[in-house]
Amino acid sequence: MSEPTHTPAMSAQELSVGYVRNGKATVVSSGISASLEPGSVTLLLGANGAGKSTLLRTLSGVQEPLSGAVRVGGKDISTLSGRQMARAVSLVYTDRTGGGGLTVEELIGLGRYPYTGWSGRLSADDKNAVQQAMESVGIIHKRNAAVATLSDGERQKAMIARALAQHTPVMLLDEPTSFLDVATRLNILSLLRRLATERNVAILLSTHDIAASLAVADFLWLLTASGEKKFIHGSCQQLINSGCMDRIFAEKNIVFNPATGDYRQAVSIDL
Amino acid sequence: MKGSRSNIIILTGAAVILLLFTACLLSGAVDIPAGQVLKVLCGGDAQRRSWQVIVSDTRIPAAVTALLAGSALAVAGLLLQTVFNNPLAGPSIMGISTGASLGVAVVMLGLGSAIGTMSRLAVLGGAAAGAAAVMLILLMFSSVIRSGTMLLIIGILVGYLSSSAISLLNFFSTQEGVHSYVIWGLGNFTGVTRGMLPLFSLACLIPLGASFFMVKPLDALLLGERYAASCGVQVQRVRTLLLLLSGLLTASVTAWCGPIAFIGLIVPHVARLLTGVSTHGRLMTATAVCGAATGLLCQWVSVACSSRGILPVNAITPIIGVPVIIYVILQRKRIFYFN
Repeated sequence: MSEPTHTPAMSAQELSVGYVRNGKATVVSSGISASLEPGSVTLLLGANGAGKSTLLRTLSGVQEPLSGAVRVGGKDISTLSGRQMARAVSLVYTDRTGGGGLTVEELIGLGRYPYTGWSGRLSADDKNAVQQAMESVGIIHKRNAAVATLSDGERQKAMIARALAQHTPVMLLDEPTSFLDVATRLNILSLLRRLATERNVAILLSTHDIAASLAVADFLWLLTASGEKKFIHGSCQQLINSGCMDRIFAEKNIVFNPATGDYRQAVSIDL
Repeated sequence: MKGSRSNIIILTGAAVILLLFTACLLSGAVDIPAGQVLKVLCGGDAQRRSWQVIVSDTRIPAAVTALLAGSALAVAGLLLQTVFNNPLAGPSIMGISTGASLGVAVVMLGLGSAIGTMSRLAVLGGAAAGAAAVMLILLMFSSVIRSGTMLLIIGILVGYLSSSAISLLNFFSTQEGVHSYVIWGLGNFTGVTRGMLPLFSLACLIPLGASFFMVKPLDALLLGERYAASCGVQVQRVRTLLLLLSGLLTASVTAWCGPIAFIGLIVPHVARLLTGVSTHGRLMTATAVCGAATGLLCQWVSVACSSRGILPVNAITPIIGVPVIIYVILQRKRIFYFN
């Protein structure tokens, strides 16, 4: 793990995430202290229900942490306005959105929202940012196409370009490759890798597509299920070597295979 | 490319408005020569005193009312469709106009005998209070309920409650009361007197103007509330403001013209289909223009088609509206803005 001599793009400090209902707090995950470095890709891994989405919501400021703090560029996000937050963190979700009648260019233009005036009119700088974002993800040939006519992969690329046009130091993606075929998935993952390096963006993505994602990632954030629930972070190699990957799933017979980067069911001798 | 198409539509719409406005001034139960109408319009005196009165006190106010009411309802519909991310949202579905109807029913049926002669102002007050009450209920829920769909359902339920209260009031009131309420409920653009016209115009134009300041967050809301929030939209606040604006627009129109169905629901679709744009800057202008044209068309049909008086507007709007809705539903797969 490279030693950061600068401020990290984003950091979580003793973060505890979960819900408050009827005055009672339900902790989904706690003890989260880690940071995202500019230009790096970090994977957020965990079983269903481990709290990946809750953590991402908290990091993006949609949900308040139960305790602890999230900092972007050294500033606590609870002190940021919506506009400031939108200039610091961009998001990509997996779910299909409305707005099918927008052109790709208009959709990506919405990424400039925190920079434009009341009418949303794009300045020359804004148009430039949109153009660059379209070129970076390779969707420029579809700039005038309606969003509804895009394939799932193209649509996800457009959403990534929209986040890119937002010019934020941090980009959070919640399962950006689900519902995509293998080729498109690999394509999107290598795109994210390239964007992180070229644009010096800190990327955190949650995914179930572990094998393919590991190939492009620098760091791992693990929400473990076995034993006591714990948050583990470190470089990919470090965590794979120390056997931490096996702790993501509660089932003892699901083990990580470092050779393939994938999980398999261990053959049990008792059977 | 798309921009020039929508500009053409907006300009054509403006021309159609001018044409229909003229048609509304020229048609009616009494035949008045076009030259005389023009004279009154320019501030002169007509040959006959009765012509003067008909044009300046009846035809001009009715045409202006139709234009503004059409615009206001259409823009209200557009705001609601985007806020609720639902193509079938509209002022009449959200319970706001039903709330206004309930207010009027209370005035006409509940207090009718006490007031004696029906005061126009009491009816206006009733409509405004009813619409405001439903709006407040919706706003209250909107601070608790995050899902737009659930909020839409609440609106529909509140509408049902209001309808049932109206039925009960109808059941227990006098025949004359019921009659005047039914007439009000048929909707018409002729209820705004010349003296009332400035007030009505302001009540429509202020929220209409304010709506144009919301085009930016409206565009972001097209992507859903999560993406809108990630762009920096204060979703709760924006939603409250948009509900307030659409409520004001609906309440103003309903108070003076009765519950006008369909215009708010169909015109935004017509505007989207004609212009092919989804961004609200152009779409809202197109919707306002198409709404004005639709209002004038309804007004013109209601005076031109009958020598026996004025047809109720709500007898005409479904004839225009239902085919459009059916077309939109049938073409759903091919219409981009749904997906």
